[in-house]
Amino acid sequence: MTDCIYLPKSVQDDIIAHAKDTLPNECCGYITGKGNAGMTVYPMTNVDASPVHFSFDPQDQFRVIKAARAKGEVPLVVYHSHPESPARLSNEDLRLLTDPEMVYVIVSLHNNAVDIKAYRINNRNVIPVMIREGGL
Amino acid sequence: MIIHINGEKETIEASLTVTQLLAHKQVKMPDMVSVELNGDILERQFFDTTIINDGDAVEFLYFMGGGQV
Repeated sequence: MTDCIYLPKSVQDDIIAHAKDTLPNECCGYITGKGNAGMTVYPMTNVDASPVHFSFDPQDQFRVIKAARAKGEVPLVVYHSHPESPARLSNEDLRLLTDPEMVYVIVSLHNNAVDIKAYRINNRNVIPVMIREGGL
Repeated sequence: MIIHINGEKETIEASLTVTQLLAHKQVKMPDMVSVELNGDILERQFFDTTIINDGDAVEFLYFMGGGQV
Protein backbone atom coordinates (compact mmCIF):
# COMPACT_ATOMS: atom_id res chain seq x y z
CA MET A 1 0.00 0.00 0.00
CA THR A 2 1.32 3.45 -0.85
CA ASP A 3 2.32 5.56 2.12
CA CYS A 4 0.35 8.79 2.36
CA ILE A 5 0.43 12.09 4.22
CA TYR A 6 -2.63 14.25 4.80
CA LEU A 7 -2.00 17.94 4.16
CA PRO A 8 -4.98 20.32 4.35
CA LYS A 9 -5.28 22.83 1.53
CA SER A 10 -4.39 25.62 3.96
CA VAL A 11 -1.11 23.88 4.77
CA GLN A 12 -0.31 23.36 1.10
CA ASP A 13 -1.21 27.00 0.38
CA ASP A 14 1.10 28.15 3.20
CA ILE A 15 4.15 26.28 1.92
CA ILE A 16 3.50 27.41 -1.66
CA ALA A 17 3.28 31.00 -0.43
CA HIS A 18 6.51 30.51 1.53
CA ALA A 19 8.23 29.19 -1.60
CA LYS A 20 7.06 32.16 -3.67
CA ASP A 21 7.90 34.70 -0.96
CA THR A 22 11.43 33.35 -0.67
CA LEU A 23 12.26 33.55 -4.38
CA PRO A 24 14.83 33.57 -5.83
CA ASN A 25 16.10 31.46 -2.91
CA GLU A 26 14.96 28.09 -1.69
CA CYS A 27 12.59 28.08 1.28
CA CYS A 28 12.44 25.40 3.95
CA GLY A 29 10.44 24.46 7.00
CA TYR A 30 8.68 21.86 9.09
CA ILE A 31 5.09 20.65 9.04
CA THR A 32 4.07 19.17 12.36
CA GLY A 33 1.00 17.18 13.21
CA LYS A 34 -0.38 13.93 14.56
CA GLY A 35 -0.37 10.47 13.02
CA ASN A 36 0.02 11.12 9.32
CA ALA A 37 -1.92 14.39 9.32
CA GLY A 38 0.07 17.59 8.89
CA MET A 39 -1.45 20.44 10.86
CA THR A 40 0.98 23.28 11.53
CA VAL A 41 3.51 24.93 9.22
CA TYR A 42 6.72 26.25 10.74
CA PRO A 43 8.61 28.27 8.11
CA MET A 44 12.33 28.13 8.86
CA THR A 45 15.14 30.43 7.89
CA ASN A 46 17.29 29.03 5.11
CA VAL A 47 20.67 29.90 6.59
CA ASP A 48 22.28 29.28 3.18
CA ALA A 49 20.09 32.02 1.63
CA SER A 50 20.69 30.31 -1.71
CA PRO A 51 18.63 29.63 -4.86
CA VAL A 52 20.07 26.11 -5.05
CA HIS A 53 20.60 24.99 -1.45
CA PHE A 54 19.05 25.08 1.99
CA SER A 55 20.12 24.34 5.54
CA PHE A 56 18.15 24.59 8.75
CA ASP A 57 19.58 26.40 11.74
CA PRO A 58 19.87 23.65 14.42
CA GLN A 59 18.98 26.08 17.19
CA ASP A 60 15.81 26.98 15.30
CA GLN A 61 15.10 23.27 14.78
CA PHE A 62 15.20 22.58 18.51
CA ARG A 63 12.93 25.58 19.14
CA VAL A 64 10.32 24.33 16.67
CA ILE A 65 10.43 20.75 17.91
CA LYS A 66 9.76 21.92 21.45
CA ALA A 67 6.97 24.27 20.34
CA ALA A 68 5.32 21.42 18.42
CA ARG A 69 5.71 19.07 21.36
CA ALA A 70 3.97 21.61 23.62
CA LYS A 71 0.97 21.38 21.24
CA GLY A 72 1.04 17.59 21.25
CA GLU A 73 2.39 17.51 17.70
CA VAL A 74 5.51 15.97 16.19
CA PRO A 75 7.45 16.91 13.08
CA LEU A 76 6.09 14.89 10.18
CA VAL A 77 7.38 16.77 7.15
CA VAL A 78 10.46 18.71 6.14
CA TYR A 79 9.62 20.82 3.12
CA HIS A 80 11.79 22.86 0.82
CA SER A 81 11.41 24.48 -2.56
CA HIS A 82 13.08 23.96 -5.89
CA PRO A 83 12.70 27.33 -7.62
CA GLU A 84 14.13 26.19 -10.93
CA SER A 85 13.89 22.41 -11.02
CA PRO A 86 11.22 19.70 -10.79
CA ALA A 87 9.77 18.36 -7.54
CA ARG A 88 12.12 15.42 -7.29
CA LEU A 89 14.87 14.69 -4.82
CA SER A 90 18.27 15.83 -5.98
CA ASN A 91 21.53 14.03 -5.27
CA GLU A 92 22.24 16.71 -2.67
CA ASP A 93 18.87 15.99 -1.02
CA LEU A 94 19.70 12.29 -0.91
CA ARG A 95 23.11 13.04 0.58
CA LEU A 96 21.85 15.28 3.34
CA LEU A 97 18.26 14.26 4.12
CA THR A 98 18.80 11.20 6.26
CA ASP A 99 15.95 10.91 8.75
CA PRO A 100 14.01 7.78 7.76
CA GLU A 101 11.04 8.83 9.91
CA MET A 102 10.47 12.08 8.03
CA VAL A 103 8.37 12.81 4.94
CA TYR A 104 10.18 15.16 2.58
CA VAL A 105 7.99 17.52 0.58
CA ILE A 106 9.33 19.49 -2.36
CA VAL A 107 7.53 22.52 -3.75
CA SER A 108 8.66 23.09 -7.32
CA LEU A 109 8.12 26.43 -9.02
CA HIS A 110 9.84 25.22 -12.17
CA ASN A 111 8.62 26.93 -15.36
CA ASN A 112 6.23 29.12 -13.35
CA ALA A 113 4.13 26.09 -12.43
CA VAL A 114 3.52 24.81 -8.91
CA ASP A 115 4.09 21.13 -8.25
CA ILE A 116 4.25 19.45 -4.83
CA LYS A 117 5.53 15.94 -4.27
CA ALA A 118 6.39 13.94 -1.16
CA TYR A 119 8.91 11.20 -0.46
CA ARG A 120 10.53 9.18 2.25
CA ILE A 121 14.21 8.34 2.14
CA ASN A 122 15.56 5.17 3.69
CA ASN A 123 19.22 4.35 3.14
CA ARG A 124 19.16 6.61 0.08
CA ASN A 125 16.21 4.68 -1.32
CA VAL A 126 13.44 7.03 -2.41
CA ILE A 127 9.87 6.01 -1.61
CA PRO A 128 7.08 8.17 -3.08
CA VAL A 129 4.44 9.30 -0.60
CA MET A 130 0.95 10.25 -1.73
CA ILE A 131 -0.29 13.67 -0.63
CA ARG A 132 -3.95 13.74 0.27
CA GLU A 133 -5.83 16.91 0.95
CA GLY A 134 -7.38 16.57 4.34
CA GLY A 135 -6.59 16.08 7.97
CA LEU A 136 -7.84 14.84 11.29
CA MET B 1 19.60 7.12 36.50
CA ILE B 2 16.75 9.09 34.98
CA ILE B 3 17.24 11.45 32.06
CA HIS B 4 14.96 13.17 29.58
CA ILE B 5 15.46 12.28 25.94
CA ASN B 6 13.53 14.34 23.41
CA GLY B 7 11.05 15.25 26.11
CA GLU B 8 10.50 11.70 27.34
CA LYS B 9 11.68 10.46 30.72
CA GLU B 10 13.92 7.41 30.42
CA THR B 11 15.86 5.26 32.82
CA ILE B 12 19.32 4.15 31.77
CA GLU B 13 21.45 1.75 33.73
CA ALA B 14 24.86 3.34 33.46
CA SER B 15 26.54 6.60 32.63
CA LEU B 16 26.91 7.03 28.90
CA THR B 17 28.68 9.48 26.67
CA VAL B 18 26.59 11.31 24.10
CA THR B 19 28.02 9.05 21.40
CA GLN B 20 27.05 5.98 23.41
CA LEU B 21 23.58 7.38 24.04
CA LEU B 22 23.00 7.91 20.31
CA ALA B 23 24.06 4.30 19.72
CA HIS B 24 21.79 3.15 22.55
CA LYS B 25 18.90 4.97 20.86
CA GLN B 26 19.82 3.25 17.58
CA VAL B 27 20.36 6.51 15.73
CA LYS B 28 21.25 5.29 12.26
CA MET B 29 23.37 8.22 11.10
CA PRO B 30 24.86 9.91 14.19
CA ASP B 31 27.16 12.04 12.05
CA MET B 32 24.05 13.87 10.80
CA VAL B 33 22.60 14.55 14.24
CA SER B 34 22.61 17.77 16.26
CA VAL B 35 22.51 17.41 20.04
CA GLU B 36 21.28 19.80 22.69
CA LEU B 37 22.25 19.10 26.30
CA ASN B 38 20.33 20.95 29.00
CA GLY B 39 19.33 23.66 26.54
CA ASP B 40 22.71 24.23 24.93
CA ILE B 41 23.83 22.86 21.59
CA LEU B 42 26.76 20.50 22.03
CA GLU B 43 29.55 20.73 19.48
CA ARG B 44 30.14 17.43 17.72
CA GLN B 45 33.76 17.30 18.86
CA PHE B 46 32.51 16.77 22.42
CA PHE B 47 30.10 13.89 21.69
CA ASP B 48 32.72 11.27 22.63
CA THR B 49 33.76 12.88 25.88
CA THR B 50 30.59 14.39 27.31
CA ILE B 51 28.99 12.18 29.96
CA ILE B 52 25.24 12.23 30.46
CA ASN B 53 24.40 12.77 34.12
CA ASP B 54 21.33 11.97 36.17
CA GLY B 55 18.57 14.49 35.48
CA ASP B 56 20.06 15.75 32.20
CA ALA B 57 17.80 16.73 29.33
CA VAL B 58 19.08 15.59 25.95
CA GLU B 59 17.51 16.51 22.64
CA PHE B 60 18.73 15.24 19.32
CA LEU B 61 17.54 15.69 15.76
CA TYR B 62 18.78 15.24 12.25
CA PHE B 63 20.51 18.06 10.46
CA MET B 64 18.32 19.18 7.57
CA GLY B 65 19.75 20.46 4.36
CA GLY B 66 19.62 19.84 0.66
CA GLY B 67 19.05 21.59 -2.58
CA GLN B 68 18.04 21.38 -6.17
CA VAL B 69 21.53 20.77 -7.54
